[in-house]
Amino acid sequence: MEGLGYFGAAMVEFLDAASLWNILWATLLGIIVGMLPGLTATLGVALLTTLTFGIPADEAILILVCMYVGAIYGGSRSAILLNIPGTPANAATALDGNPLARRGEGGRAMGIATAGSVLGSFIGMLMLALIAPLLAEAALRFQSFEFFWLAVFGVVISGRLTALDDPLKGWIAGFLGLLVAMVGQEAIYSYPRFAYGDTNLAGGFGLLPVLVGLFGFAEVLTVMKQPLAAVIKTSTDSVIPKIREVLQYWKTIIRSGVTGTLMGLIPGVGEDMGAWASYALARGASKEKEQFGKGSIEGLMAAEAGNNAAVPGAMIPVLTLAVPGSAPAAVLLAAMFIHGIRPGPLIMITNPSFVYEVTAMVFLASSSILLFGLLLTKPLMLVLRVPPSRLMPIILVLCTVGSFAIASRLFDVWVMLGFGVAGFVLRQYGFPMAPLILGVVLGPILDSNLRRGLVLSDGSLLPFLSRPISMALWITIALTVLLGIPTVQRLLGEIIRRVKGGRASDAGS
Amino acid sequence: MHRADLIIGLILLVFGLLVVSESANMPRYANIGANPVTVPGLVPGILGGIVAFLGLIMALRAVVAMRARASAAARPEHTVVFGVEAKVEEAPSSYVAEPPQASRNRFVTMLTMSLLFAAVALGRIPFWLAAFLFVFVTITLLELPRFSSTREAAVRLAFALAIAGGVAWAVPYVFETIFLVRLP
Repeated sequence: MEGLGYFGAAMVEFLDAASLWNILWATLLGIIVGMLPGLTATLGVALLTTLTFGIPADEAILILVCMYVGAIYGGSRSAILLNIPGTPANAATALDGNPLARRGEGGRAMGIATAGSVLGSFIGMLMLALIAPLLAEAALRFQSFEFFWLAVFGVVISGRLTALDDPLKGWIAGFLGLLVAMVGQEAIYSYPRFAYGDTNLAGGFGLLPVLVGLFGFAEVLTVMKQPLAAVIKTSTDSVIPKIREVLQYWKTIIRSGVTGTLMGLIPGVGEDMGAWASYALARGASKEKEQFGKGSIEGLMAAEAGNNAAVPGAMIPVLTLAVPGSAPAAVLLAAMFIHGIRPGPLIMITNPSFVYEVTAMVFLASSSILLFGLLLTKPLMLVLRVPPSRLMPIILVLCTVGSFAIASRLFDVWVMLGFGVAGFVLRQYGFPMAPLILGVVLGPILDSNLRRGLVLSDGSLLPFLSRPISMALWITIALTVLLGIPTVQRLLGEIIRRVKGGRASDAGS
Repeated sequence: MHRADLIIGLILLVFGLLVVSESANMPRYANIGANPVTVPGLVPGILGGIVAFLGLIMALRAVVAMRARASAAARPEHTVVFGVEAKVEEAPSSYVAEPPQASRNRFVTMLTMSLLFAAVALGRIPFWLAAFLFVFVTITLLELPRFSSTREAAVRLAFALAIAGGVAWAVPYVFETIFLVRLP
């Protein structure tokens, strides 16, 4: 119950004029960032991180959370009206949102998207407040062995789930990310790995320049390579959702909210999976299955609730384990470290109010998107008319400034460029970016904990395999890998079919 | 598709092996009595090995697929996520009609200008000037194919100038003056 007290205190703290102003402009900026193809939530949060470098930690994190929530919501606008998701998280929204818009019901679609996003966010927020303290408690029992397996698990599960039709590429991306993290001075002997005498390389690749490169510059290049989208017609019907319509699907909303949060909770699996999983479950359970893909209100609501619920979901592992739940959450993690906040299992002991402050931030950001979503439809439409040829150069300038600002070295700008080109190439060939960035974040954790664990066990692998939590983790990893191999999947399918066939004939005879 | 996979797989194989060999050359610190499992090269070596292995699998898979050539059942054009087809119906009106090399030209322009801006101009000329030139020239180059008349060209150039000027003024102002962040 003290959680409620912390939440209340945080709300009071954030309800003064200066914070309210920050909440409003950051959320609005987030919505605009989300709406514009070429700008992702990750880039938005990364650029704001560099901007808010000098601001006190509480305000800075508040601004970043608002940008994050706003961006994931904002992408629904372009998904519905342009059939182009503003961020990957809104791809599922386009499936039903765009058909609705083409029928002249764009406003209704946007209203439903707004309602779904806000409600999904609230559900995620509740789960954050409930699960985070429990998870932190459990994580207190983690030692080096468990953290090592957690790092491996993150890369493996992220690689598996973000590249569903080709997990091999997901895993390659993840391990490449881990390798990227190996550059620089390592933790035990300070030996500069892969530095070849260059002082810049000895410092390693900064997380923010890598992020800005992979999710900013690579995105700019991808947008430039794509065909130009035509200018849209604005819709004229009302954006205020009918309460009855929203309440009708209360089961879907709750299911999507929970699914989205859980998807966000899984390391490296973020808002886009939250949307897809919620959408697929909603379709499976729906009484109006045929409508899905043709303008189903239920599907639209599920997708938007799912992706927004993943936002607080992704913050749970950030706060309790210092492991990002999604790419924008990775930026938030970096930002927290920059501002001197130490996320991890000890957070409930060293800084117990922080988890509830983050909950309050999500609440306030969600309320703002409700406000902006319902009131500012027409002005926001104008944003979509900006042609990429004018927007992308501006974004690039911001990317450059963003990568430079943290450590004030041009090397970081070159890192950004390099990773941008590499990221672009990898994406063209079907490699997902999320496992890569997760690998970069988890690399140091994996490295130091493996070696520390081996020292503790005197070189023996036994504790890695026999400790209960470690065992749970490595068995899950092994299953994830095995089930990701097509041959194994086929064999399993065969076995299941034979068993079912056997049972059917037993029942028949 | 499969040939690309083969090439990438082979590149990864070579890269992974290079990493392993580099890691093997890292110091062992035996002279200060270090525990052999803590050597700096342990984890990069293992990771390099895994990457090489995965690259090999990818290359082999591509070879098998090219041999089989039963590509009817190959990759779907759209991803299937959790059993849902993530194909977005593309209405013909969604995109502007343009010659095929237009997108490639845009891409090359953007890439070249970005590299020139960040790797050449920054640090050597004042930021506002570099940003102004970059934004103006890039927007103009990108919009060049759309210059259908002198009047339209003039309008678009004016827009480019305005945007470039705006960026050159606003970015330093917001970053340096309001948020106190240093610029290149």
